[in-house]
Amino acid sequence: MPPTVSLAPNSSASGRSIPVRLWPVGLLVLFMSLALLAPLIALDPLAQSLRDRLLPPAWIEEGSMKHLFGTDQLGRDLLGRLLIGLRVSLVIGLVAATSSALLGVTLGMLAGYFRGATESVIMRLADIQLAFPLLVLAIAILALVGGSLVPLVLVLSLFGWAVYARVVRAAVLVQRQMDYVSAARTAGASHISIMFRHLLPNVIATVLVLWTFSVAQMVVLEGALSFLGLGVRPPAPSIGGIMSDGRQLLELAWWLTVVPGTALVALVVAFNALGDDLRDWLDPRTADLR
Amino acid sequence: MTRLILRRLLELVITLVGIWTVLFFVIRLSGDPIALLMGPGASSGQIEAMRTDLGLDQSLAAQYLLELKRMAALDFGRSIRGGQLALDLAWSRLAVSLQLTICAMLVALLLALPVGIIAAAWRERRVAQLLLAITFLGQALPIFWTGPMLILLLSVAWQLLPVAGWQTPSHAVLPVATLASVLLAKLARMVRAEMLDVLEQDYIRTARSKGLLRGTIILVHGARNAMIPVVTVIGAEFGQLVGAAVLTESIFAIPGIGDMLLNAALARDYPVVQAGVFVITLVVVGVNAAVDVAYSFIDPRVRHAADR
Repeated sequence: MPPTVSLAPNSSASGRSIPVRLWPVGLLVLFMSLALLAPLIALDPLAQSLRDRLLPPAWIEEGSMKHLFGTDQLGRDLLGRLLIGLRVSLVIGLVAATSSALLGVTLGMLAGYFRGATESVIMRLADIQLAFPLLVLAIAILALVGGSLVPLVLVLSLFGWAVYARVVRAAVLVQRQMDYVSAARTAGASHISIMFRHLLPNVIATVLVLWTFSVAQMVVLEGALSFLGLGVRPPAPSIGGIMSDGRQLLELAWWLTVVPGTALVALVVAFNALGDDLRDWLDPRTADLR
Repeated sequence: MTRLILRRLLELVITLVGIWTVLFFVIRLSGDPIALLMGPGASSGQIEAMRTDLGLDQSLAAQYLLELKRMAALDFGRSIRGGQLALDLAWSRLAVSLQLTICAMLVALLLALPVGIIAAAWRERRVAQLLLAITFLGQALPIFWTGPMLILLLSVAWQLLPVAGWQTPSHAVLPVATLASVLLAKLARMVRAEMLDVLEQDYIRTARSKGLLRGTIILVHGARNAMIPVVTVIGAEFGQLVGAAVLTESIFAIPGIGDMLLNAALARDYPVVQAGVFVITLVVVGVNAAVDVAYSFIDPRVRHAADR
């Protein structure tokens, strides 16, 4: 992980044809291809072998080249489990971030465009959502309903919409004063058409930046819920699930915590760095502040 | 002022009812609570009696109203597993969680101020850029990574601190550090951004042209003003911190309310889940409201904006 690269602020933000640093993009492409190609690269993540229990990674003395990152308490290959877990994290992160973006953008758009009671109800809800520890509610819901994929993504979407709603509303409040909006209105455009054909393109860049950050947030939340045993159900591998096993075995098998944890952190750092770059590119004023 | 307090109280009630409603439907969706309450040996007559007793034979709307009345009367029933009053159980676990959360918040605040100020005041220096990189990384580190890593280093490898539990002050070091880490990174970045903003202001230039010492300018004129927005977000951050505390409690086996809620939810102990969510909501929304009201006392601009 190269945090040192970010020591040079602005180096990427202005005056370049590619507006983003290469390492976050490279890291993300690497992670995505690893997750996609998991079955080709690594061993079966579910195959148990009690003789090979808790083997350390290959570079440690007792480790074997067969299991690059070692094995878990049931002798399952950690690399295989990690890659499938990565796939789960990425899919859930991308889907949950996108669905919360759809929800948040729609609500923010409605609030900013119609003002009045619609606005106050939506923005109050957003305030409440941002202040309330939704993890607490998510625990209750997922434990009772059971952690299959659909409730998990639905609950995660509930975490994320408020930020979009706030930002989109603020942007729409500015945009709706513009001449092009009154021109469209005079020309007889409907509310829907003004919102989605005229206003949406002007806020989409901001939404893209938020989306990048929120994928990282969702990946962490999914990890947290799986860590608590409420996300993806075992034996299906997930990064949080592996780390939960690892927590029980810290004194015996540090690699069960360190390896998936580091991968998760790298993924999150890459998404955050990409988000920072996109923001600086789209709004050079923030780049000056960094 | 009174209007602000009233509005905040109304919001508290609306939040409680909203969350109660979500829980009600989730519980009804998740299956028949009777089977759990009675155990496998119950006769059908006993089951029917219980059903009538709990109002589960009525329509969904009637059940919902009944549930609302129960919440209003603070009647959460008894734990299915232990038999204690659910609300008492939740209150008794709250103290530990509050100790953890408040300690973490103080630690984060006390460290974020110097880190953010240094990162802003010496922004050209290596130190400042290193601090910035660390906070950037810190924001990306999930609690369930930081916690086990600290245990690995300080408890397993160096054997300095206990692995888990909540008995002595030394037990508190790792959980508090873990919980504080996320907030610390966020606050430090915020202090830095505010400082950079404040240092551009005219009054800083005036202070400089008066020939004041750089340290005086930064601490007295800069930091004091940069702190105001930071203090306002503390209320909102408190909620997120309580959420993160659930994870921390689970990692370090701390007997707080989050730990109670998680175990109750996994065991489908509905009364305890309801009481736990109720108490947490009450505390978080209550603290938020209190911070807002207190803040409007301090800053007349906020007070007038709220009364309008």
